[in-house]
Amino acid sequence: MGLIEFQNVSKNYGQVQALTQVSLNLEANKIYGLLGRNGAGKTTMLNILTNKIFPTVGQVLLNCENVTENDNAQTQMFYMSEMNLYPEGMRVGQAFRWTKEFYPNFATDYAHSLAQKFGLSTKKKVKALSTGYNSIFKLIITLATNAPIIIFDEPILGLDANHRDLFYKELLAKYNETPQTVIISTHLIDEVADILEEAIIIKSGDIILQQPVEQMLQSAYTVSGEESKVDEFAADKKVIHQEMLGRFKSATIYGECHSEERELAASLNLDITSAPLQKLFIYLTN
Amino acid sequence: MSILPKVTKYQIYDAKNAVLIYYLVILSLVALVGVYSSSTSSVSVVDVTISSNVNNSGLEAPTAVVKREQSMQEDNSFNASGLEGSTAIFLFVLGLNLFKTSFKFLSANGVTRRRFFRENTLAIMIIAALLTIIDTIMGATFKLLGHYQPLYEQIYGNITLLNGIVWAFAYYLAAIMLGWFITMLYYRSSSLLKIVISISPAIVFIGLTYLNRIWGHVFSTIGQFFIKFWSINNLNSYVAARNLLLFTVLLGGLVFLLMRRAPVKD
Amino acid sequence: MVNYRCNEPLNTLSFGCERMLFDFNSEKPLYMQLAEAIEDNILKGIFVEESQVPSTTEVSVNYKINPATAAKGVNLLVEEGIVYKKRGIGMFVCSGAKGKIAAKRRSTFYEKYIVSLLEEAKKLSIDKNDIISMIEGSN
Repeated sequence: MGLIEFQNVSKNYGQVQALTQVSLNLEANKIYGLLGRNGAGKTTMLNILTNKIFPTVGQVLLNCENVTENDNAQTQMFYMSEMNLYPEGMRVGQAFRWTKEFYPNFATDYAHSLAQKFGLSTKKKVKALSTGYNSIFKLIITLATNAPIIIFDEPILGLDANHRDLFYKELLAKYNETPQTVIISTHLIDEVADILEEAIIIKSGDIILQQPVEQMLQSAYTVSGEESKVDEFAADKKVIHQEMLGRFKSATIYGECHSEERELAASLNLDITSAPLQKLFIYLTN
Repeated sequence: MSILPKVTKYQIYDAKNAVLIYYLVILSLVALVGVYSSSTSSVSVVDVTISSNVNNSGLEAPTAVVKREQSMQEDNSFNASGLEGSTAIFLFVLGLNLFKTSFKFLSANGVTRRRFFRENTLAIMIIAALLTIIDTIMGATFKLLGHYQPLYEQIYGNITLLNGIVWAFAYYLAAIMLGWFITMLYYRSSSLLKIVISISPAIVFIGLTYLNRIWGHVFSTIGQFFIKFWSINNLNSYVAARNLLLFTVLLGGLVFLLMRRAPVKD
Repeated sequence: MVNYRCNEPLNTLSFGCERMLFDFNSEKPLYMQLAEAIEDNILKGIFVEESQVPSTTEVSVNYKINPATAAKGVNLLVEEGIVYKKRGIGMFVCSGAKGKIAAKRRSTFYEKYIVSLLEEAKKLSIDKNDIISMIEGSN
């Protein structure tokens, strides 16, 4: 359940190529991160997956069935779209009730308890919600549907730090309790990195990397210390980022850190630390 | 209510308020006219046209445009006519508003275009049937109160109730479908095309007037077509009903084609 | 560099009066850091032998990390015989775990601490005798 496959999907809007031959395989019950810059094509991919728009070329399969115009496939997914798709005059509570009509496994009590935790009044009309509470409203619905596949497009837009924290915890609590396939699309990498099991990096309509996050994090590291020593260490290596404060320098190296690198660093009196996923992401998507 | 398909259920729920307001307005106007006409010696026939603000955020409360026409009557009795005309116009406007907001919301809930088309068609059939029944009952009530003629009687003379109901249903269904069709045209059109569509009735009319000057038979041909369509020549309401249903099916087909590749946009 | 993640415990199975410390910037994978943090707490006596350790769910939610990562860290400890699973209840510290961890760590103690201590002392021009006095003077 939940095997999603993009088969050579391309999408163009007139002259603009939004997606170029995207092929992708997603397994069930993992938390995936779809990472990319603004306009890289994340939302386009998700819109095609959830039948909002049509691919120009190629198809997307769910359990070997084409998802386009497929009632069965679409009811197994719930997508927290960035678009404002809810009627302005609808109240939060009403939206819960109607979602339950279309997603029978929607947990109404859970949704209401989440609303309380986030401080969202269920009597409020959609048009009266601020940007942050609009996101909260939509993410609560997404969490409560109990669909086999749930998709979040920039879920933390406009959320303050407390609400972001609460969201991650509630998402993980839910995921731990009932495994689902989760896709989080965002450009805010570091916050979300620890939650993801696997990340897909998209750049200008192209998938450039798909890897377990743990592996991605191992593919770069940071050395820091005295400037000349750092330069010596990094001479034959791929430096993807550097910072300097006086003679103190830290350089992010793209490559794996094995014992020889550790020994060399030790001998040069350098510290080795991890490279944040964000730095790696910036380098890869530049 | 719970055995209905979900989309049907939602669409009927969405239309509920508009329908209630419409009948509230009708009844208030009828009550006002009833009071007015029974207390004066001159009688006016009130022709009520209900129109609505059609804008992107959906149906606003209908506003009533009341036209008065003088008519000669012998007694101070309650007088009204042609409820069906108003209801048809109301349903046309309803049709204009039943797509955009609902389509977005239902799309967010995993409803495909095919499913929306199917279940919405059922919804409009139910709405048309419901309003037919309501209008028939209201018409019968008005008849008891005074001189009232349903629109179909005015056109076809004294036909049976069943006749009238079938005709009204077909009329209402066609009205909603026409509204849906036009809203689909707009939805699928670029801004330029929207402008073109908006001014095309005027252009067509001007064009026809010009052609009429040259050829001379244009308007009479069109007139003949309408007479045949509504079976006014033969006064056969069943033929009219059949034609209206065919018209509905034709528009439905076009609506389906327009919907097939419709993107969901903000 | 050590980062301090403070969180409210989910239920009564708290982490004790101390919080688990994660060294975010260590270049070790997160699951390894988690395993080491649990080992630390066992050594300190916070997680007593035959008592329950936080479940993967608790760790995952409290520290906002993917459950697969949390599970991997715990499994590492299971493999090394430091924790074990009681079916239907949860994860418990093995008897003798403390000893096992101590033995494991003793073998890397020299590399990890003595070498860097000596390096640092060299930087500061502290000679061996001063170091020995410092050690003897402390408790």
